[in-house]
Amino acid sequence: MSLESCLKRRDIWRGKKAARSEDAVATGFAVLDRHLPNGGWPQHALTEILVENITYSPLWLLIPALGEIMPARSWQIWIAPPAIPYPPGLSQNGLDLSKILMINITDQADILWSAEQALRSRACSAVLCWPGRLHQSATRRLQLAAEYGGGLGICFQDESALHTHSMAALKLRCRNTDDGLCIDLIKCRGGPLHQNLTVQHPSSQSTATLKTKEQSCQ
Amino acid sequence: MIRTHQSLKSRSALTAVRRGSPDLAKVPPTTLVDTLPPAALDHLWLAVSFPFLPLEALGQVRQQPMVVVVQQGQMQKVITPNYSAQRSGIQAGMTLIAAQTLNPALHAISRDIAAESNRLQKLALMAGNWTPAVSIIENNLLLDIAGSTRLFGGIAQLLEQIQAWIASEALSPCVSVMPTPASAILCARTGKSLCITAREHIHGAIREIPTQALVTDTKRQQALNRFGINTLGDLLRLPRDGMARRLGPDLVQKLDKLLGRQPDPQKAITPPPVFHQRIVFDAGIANTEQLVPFMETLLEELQIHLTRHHILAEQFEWHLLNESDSSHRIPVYLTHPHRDAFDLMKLSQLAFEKFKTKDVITHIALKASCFAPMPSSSKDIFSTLPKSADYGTSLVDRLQNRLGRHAVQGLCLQPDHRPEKAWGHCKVGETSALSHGAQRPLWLLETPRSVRISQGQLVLGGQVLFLQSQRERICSGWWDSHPIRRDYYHARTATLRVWIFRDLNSGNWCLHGIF
Repeated sequence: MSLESCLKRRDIWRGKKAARSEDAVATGFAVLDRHLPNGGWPQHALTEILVENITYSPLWLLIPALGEIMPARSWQIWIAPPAIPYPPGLSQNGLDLSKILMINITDQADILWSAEQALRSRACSAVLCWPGRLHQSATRRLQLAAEYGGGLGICFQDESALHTHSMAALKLRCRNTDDGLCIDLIKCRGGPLHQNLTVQHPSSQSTATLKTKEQSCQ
Repeated sequence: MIRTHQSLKSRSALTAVRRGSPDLAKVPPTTLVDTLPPAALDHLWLAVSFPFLPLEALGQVRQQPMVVVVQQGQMQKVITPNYSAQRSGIQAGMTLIAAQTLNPALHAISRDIAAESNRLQKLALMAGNWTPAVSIIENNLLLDIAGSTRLFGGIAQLLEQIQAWIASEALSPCVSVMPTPASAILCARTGKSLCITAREHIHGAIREIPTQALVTDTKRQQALNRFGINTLGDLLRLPRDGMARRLGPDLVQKLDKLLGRQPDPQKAITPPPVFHQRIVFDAGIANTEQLVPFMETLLEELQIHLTRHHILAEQFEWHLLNESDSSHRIPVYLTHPHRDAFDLMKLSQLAFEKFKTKDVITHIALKASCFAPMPSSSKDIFSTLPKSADYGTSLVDRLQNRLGRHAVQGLCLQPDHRPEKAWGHCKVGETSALSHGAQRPLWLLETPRSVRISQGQLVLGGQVLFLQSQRERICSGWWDSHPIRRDYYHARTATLRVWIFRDLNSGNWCLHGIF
């Protein structure tokens, strides 16, 4: 095996400089853009996002990127979301509802099959899925499908997946803290693993806090 | 030259005999004179009327007195009495109550228009035996037989064959051959079995027909009665301009079409290009994978069928029959019409993935009846790469066939203030543009989660909630079964931005959305 063929392998980590210059889409949050390789969410790749409570998946973190890549391709597919992605809210945040495809299924095999089909199809700018617990081979399949199809693959999981081995290009963990959402990079292909990147919800700068009045809640 | 094979008088005499015994309806009519000059056969139309179509469509040709009725306002009116009902004096147009007074044992059934049109379609397809140009006009069949007379050895032979066929299919049908389509239908409807080939003789043939047969609307009928005009012969004597002014130009046009003074093109029905083929297995097949070569054969035949008809399939289905004679239906949905057997095979395989059976399969059939016309578009000489839209539709096809149609849907907005009803599922790729003023969350919980109150503070999952904005009151839906009266607030915990409401009826706080 020659050195060249060794270097061509994607799973050999060669430090930040040697990283393949991949497409990435800006996250819309300065802190994240600064610390993620290529300055954003990696396209042609799978990103795993671990959250404390799956129902409160921080969708707002992805909305700017989803809006930006939406016009390029036919669909954005949401597979088995934990609650209703609320169309009026999505529409207000600049997403085109006619390009969103909802897949409501519960069987994990079907979820993974549809996610792989969608990522592989080259018709989806993004695929968001909530598959439950992912096995390593499943992450590999999805990662390969995303590499082939070129979309943005996002998998939301809960924190039990923190120590499982993953083939995803990016794996990050979101913690809710008093300052905002705190993001730790668990795995990051082509970049160092930064910790404690704090991101503020976009609405938090604008509104003033009012304390609940006692009589209003009786 | 008029060939009335039965004069009006003898026709009514024959009808009287036929009413006595339905079997006599199958007696072939009197023979006709043959040998016609070929020039006269440029236009020749054969019309068939079915006086008992409503009864036949319901499959209710019985000896007992029976009528088909329709609901008209508060009343039920008789439209078709059968022979034995006619014998007790029941006529079309009576109310059901009047008819039942005449014959208390009368059996009444309501009309089924869909069945009637199905039956007519079937008869029209069978009539394709004699001519390719068959039309259905108001429950009558109209055949353009000008081109067929020579093939069948003259008009007499052709008419005889058609009459023998139609008499075996329907009860006392009336067949009339005329040089114009309108006059053929008029004669058949009024029960005149004529065979006229020359235009100049139409006038004489329709002279005696009462005007009611042509003028259906009551106002004009009353006007004609006032003028003392009872038959078409009287009507044809009136001056054209005066008739157009008094009775409307469309009546003049009708008369012109009747006499062949104005062209009257007819639209012939085309048989639907339904595809239905099956393969029977001698030994039976236990494993669905063994079906693949047979499915491929059937799909290739479907592709040939589609190419020949210049159409695309919109949907098709597989039927599998077991040894125990129970059949399975496996539909395959296509978002965009297709005809490529290879693509259809892939989609079929996905649809078959969910199919499991323990029985041995003895038959496989492929049925396609939904088609779309082939789009005619010219291709760009320079484009070599398939467009990404093609990927998109094939992806949706694949997902829908494996997961089912209901599992793959689009999102749309609905014009409703209630948050639960302000959205909906829709067909993939469709949406409605509606603007919403107030800010809405990204997630909505299907069932609102209740928020605890402890020490005067709202607590969600151990974190204190702070209300952020002014309230938004939503009171709506009092007209249906889901009325709401709520005050919505934006709220935040240390980490979350949420949308909560207080129910004004119960005073409870609930979490409804997440920003």
